[in-house]
Amino acid sequence: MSSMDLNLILTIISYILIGIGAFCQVVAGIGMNRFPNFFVRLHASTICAIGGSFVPIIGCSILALTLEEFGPSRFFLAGAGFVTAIFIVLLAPVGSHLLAKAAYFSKAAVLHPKVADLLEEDIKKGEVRESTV
Amino acid sequence: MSQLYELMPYIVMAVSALASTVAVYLAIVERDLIKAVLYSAIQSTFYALLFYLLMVPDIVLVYVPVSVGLLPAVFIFAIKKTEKYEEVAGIPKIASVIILVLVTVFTLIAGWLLVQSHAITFEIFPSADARALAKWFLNTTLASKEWWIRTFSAMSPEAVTAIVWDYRGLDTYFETSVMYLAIIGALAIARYFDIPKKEYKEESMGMSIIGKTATKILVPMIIVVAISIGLHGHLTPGGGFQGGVTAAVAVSLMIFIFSVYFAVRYFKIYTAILLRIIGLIGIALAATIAILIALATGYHGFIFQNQPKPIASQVGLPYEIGGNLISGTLLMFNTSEFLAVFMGFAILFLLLSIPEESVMEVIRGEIE
Repeated sequence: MSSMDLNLILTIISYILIGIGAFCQVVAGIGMNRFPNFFVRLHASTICAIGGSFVPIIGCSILALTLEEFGPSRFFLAGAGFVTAIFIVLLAPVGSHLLAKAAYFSKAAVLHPKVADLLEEDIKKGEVRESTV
Repeated sequence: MSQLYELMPYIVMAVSALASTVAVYLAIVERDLIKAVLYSAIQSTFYALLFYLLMVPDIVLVYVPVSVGLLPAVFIFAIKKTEKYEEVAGIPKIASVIILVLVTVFTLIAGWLLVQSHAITFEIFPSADARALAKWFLNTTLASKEWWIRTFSAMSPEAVTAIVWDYRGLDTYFETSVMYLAIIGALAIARYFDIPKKEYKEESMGMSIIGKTATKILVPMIIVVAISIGLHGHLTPGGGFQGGVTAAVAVSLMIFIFSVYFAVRYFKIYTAILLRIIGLIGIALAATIAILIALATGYHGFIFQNQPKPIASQVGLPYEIGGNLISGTLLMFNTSEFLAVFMGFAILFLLLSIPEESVMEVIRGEIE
């Protein structure tokens, strides 16, 4: 009976993770449409990548582990899912970082409703040089 | 009457071929460049119809926008830039209207006749004949116990690779040689250019440290996945070309994230050319290996032969080694193609990333 209980707990956890993913996708979609400039929209797309892809893929992998009728192939499914999730969580922030940096220093994105730009102040003060950022 | 309708596609093909030839002649003898471009567009229209009737709808899909729309537009734009537009006497309005009406009427009549003769259908799904053909390929690609199916079999569960490299190997050979000729052309143009010798500096070149670290993790992974795609080409979707293109992504990442001077540490142009030649020799060897074995043993063999054919030819490659399916020549083809495509794209990326200043230096030196 204990393995049944473990399966039930894992199933519930995986469904919760998938639900968080769906919520994050909706939030990211609203943010993509409503946010005013490039940098905050980039923030919305990061929510989509981490909350909307990484979390539900982990959930799907855990769900695949619990499906005993799949036989040994469920371990392949789960392993592929975990590897994909690890690569997304490693690489999506890198992509966002490079995009933001390129957009900031090429001045391609207009920073219109500007609340604070600490990097600009640091560059003006001379604490940060543009080439090392 | 129905017999006439059956003949109709061939008649339309003949008329289209004649009309396209006339359009080419007019385009050559025409002195007015704008008119010549329009004649060549008319020729392209007829060619598109011909391609459709020869049952290559995929080529029509590419040919119509590029050759009928884009190419004349680019030509007209270029003519406009080189000459003063007003000096070129445009076509008289009546002539252009007549040409347009003739082309439209011919297209409509031809289309109506083709629909009547069932050469063109408006059905979404392909006809039952194509399905029978697909069924035949699916049944014969992998082994079966009947000896007569073994005659046609490529012994590979992946039908696309079997068709591409076994049933229609000669087709694929010429298709793939187009890309190799393009790379030879790029190398010939860039034969005096070289990447300037410059030391790679970690702190002053390339993108930020975050991007570099992520790329260091990613590049070996990409190459491993690419090799897996290439080597499993006879088992799963993919193959040599797809694997090679995936591996070439690693080279472009190294060039963009780090620097060209970092990438040339690992991929030197002349080494890449050598490896590419090894890949091409592998393709040629895989294509002729059956005939070589046949010549050595005194049997009969064919070019692009994979499995032994019980009726015609006894020689062929084994389809498995120690219980592992290798599908005869397909594994050889995929490995060689992987190497050739990977190195070909690496050469192209390295050549494209030569700085403009060093290219201009060489060009100015030649002119002077």
